[in-house]
Amino acid sequence: MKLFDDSKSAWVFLAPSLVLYGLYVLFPIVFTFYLSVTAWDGISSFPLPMCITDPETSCLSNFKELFEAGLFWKSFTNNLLWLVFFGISPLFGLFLALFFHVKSTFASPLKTLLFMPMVFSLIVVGMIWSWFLQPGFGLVDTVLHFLKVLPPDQEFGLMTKLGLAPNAGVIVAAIWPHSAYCMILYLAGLSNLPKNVFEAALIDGANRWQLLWHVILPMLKPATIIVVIVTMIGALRAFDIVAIMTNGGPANSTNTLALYMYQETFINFRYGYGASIAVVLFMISVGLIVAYLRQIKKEEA
Amino acid sequence: MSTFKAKTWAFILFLSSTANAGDLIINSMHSDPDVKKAFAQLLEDFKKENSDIKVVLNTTSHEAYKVQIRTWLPNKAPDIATWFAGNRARYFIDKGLVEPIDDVWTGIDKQFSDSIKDVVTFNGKKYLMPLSYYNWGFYYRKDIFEKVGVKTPPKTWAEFTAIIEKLNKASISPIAIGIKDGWPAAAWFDYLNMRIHGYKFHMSLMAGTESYLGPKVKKTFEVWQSLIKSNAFNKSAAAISWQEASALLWQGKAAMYLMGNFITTQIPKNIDDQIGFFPFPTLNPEVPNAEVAPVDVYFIPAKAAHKAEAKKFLAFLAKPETQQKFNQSVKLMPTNSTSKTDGGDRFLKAGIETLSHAKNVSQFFDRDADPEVAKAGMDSFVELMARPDDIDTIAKKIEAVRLRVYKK
Repeated sequence: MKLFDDSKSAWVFLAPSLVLYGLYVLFPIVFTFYLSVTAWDGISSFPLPMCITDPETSCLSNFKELFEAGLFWKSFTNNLLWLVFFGISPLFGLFLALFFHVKSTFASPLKTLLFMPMVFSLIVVGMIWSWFLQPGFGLVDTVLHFLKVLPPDQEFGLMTKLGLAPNAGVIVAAIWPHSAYCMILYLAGLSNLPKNVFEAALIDGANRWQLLWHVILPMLKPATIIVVIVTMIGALRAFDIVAIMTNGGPANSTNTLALYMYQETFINFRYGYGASIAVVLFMISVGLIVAYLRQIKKEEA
Repeated sequence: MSTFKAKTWAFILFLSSTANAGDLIINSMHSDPDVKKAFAQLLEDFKKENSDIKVVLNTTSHEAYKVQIRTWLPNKAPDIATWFAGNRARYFIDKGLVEPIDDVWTGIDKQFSDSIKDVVTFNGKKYLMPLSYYNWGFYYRKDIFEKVGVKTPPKTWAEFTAIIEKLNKASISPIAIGIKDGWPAAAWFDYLNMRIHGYKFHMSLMAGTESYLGPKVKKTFEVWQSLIKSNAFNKSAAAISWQEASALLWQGKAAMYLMGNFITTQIPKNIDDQIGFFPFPTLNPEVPNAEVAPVDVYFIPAKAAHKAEAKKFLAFLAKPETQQKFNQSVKLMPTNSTSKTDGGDRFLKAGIETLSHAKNVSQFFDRDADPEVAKAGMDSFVELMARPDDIDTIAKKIEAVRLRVYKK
């Protein structure tokens, strides 16, 4: 005798996690969309949409202001920079994984060393790199002075510049642990590949390059999909390492959308406006990831 | 089992009784260990006089407090809250969230200077009780001044710029500054603007009634710009924090540092006697002297449950003995002018001396100005220091935010 039919029992088992998921993921997303059409300051009573409290303003005026704000476009540009340059880390990861996917006494301690930055919290990574790049005291300065590349009375002022330059320092710092993460994902992928396919390819006369390009990479595709998506999300939500290294400065030169959202919400106390940034960032992320997955599906079909 | 049950019930009753009449709930943002310890002692002394009042203290870190106060102040407020004087407090007062305390102030207001009373009074009513404040000014290396032939610290702008020139010739960075976090740059704006145009104009600018595009602010920016262009500041400014900038002073790589008195607790022992203090020099002899001196205050939220007890506490805070004991242990200045002040610390002495000449005290740019304008302002100041060419664009950025904020 069956107590429930299958679909019913499935719901029963799913219920606890569905409740938690709804409470902590779905509800906040929906609520953020709602907040983005209000002008809540975080202190007044529960907000109503702007166009209801004041019929003369549009409910989308947060978005209108956002798209007119220079700071939004600056942060958006920086996020694009992140997408492009942070996007290099999968290549590093793949290179390292192929390099270390051999059994040797030296490989595993080296692998462990390379994996270290991944274990550090991003805050620690940010601290380390901001000390490296410190003008006057930092490691980069010291090395450049020692090699006499930089005259002793000058400082390596990458992080003191306005504009795109300081982004380089922040993104390099972020690539360091992320490459290690990509390496681990690729190593896991590599160890799952069947050995006999390699052997067959080699017997058929494939050289090493052909083996990589036509056999290994296509078989690593599931790993690549995960790596690319993780990297895209990492680039779009860039926050902690920027906050600790530059806090978006000098003068917003390294600001990103996530940090801009935080500043508007919790420094300027514009919860509605901050939520509108969150909505835009959400749309961009979903758009990019869906586009990528579609592309993958098309290739497979 | 039954004793366990009884104990549990007793515990639950105990928990629910913590908010009974006769209680006093205090929310504080002073999480710094020294201040926390001194405040705990202050509470002990208060309990000795008021054994019938049970005090509950909740301390939160500074940054978290600033966010959380907006949640609990309009809803479930404590009986006493810590905050800043000036416009930061006006924000809550205008929303009707703060209880006026003129009755606590009657009879004691002669013990406080006019400049202090000015920052706790809003629309003719007193809302805040000040406990301590600290001064700003230049901390400098006596040995380096001596080395380049400077006998006395500068009093006028001409003397000040002459020293900068001498230091530059000796290849010592004249002024240390670290503006990774923006606010140390704002101290320069505050002082230059107050020294050139006076306290009144500065406060109107902070309150949003003056334009950042006017000739006066432009003049302030021009003086600042010429300082930056004369290599008065270290080149690394934009990438380092205020603590890292103070290291430049300790190492003798820079000679002066415009900072709050809290920096004196960090002076390394080996150079302690080489560090001196002088107030920000005069720029315009026609304007009365004003100083940056942030005041820490306590207030009663309008929704507090135990206002009678809270008022007793504020009256206790105002006492000269309370203020003296607390401030002596945290190296701050008592706001009650009848408090006997600690003669031991030379920086405190210099600070009290400086403030005794000040007709007014400002509360610092990010406490006096609206938070959004303050953020835009500090970003712009950093931009000015990193690229001191285009004053107009910088002023326009702040003005755009001011217009949006005060249009509302």
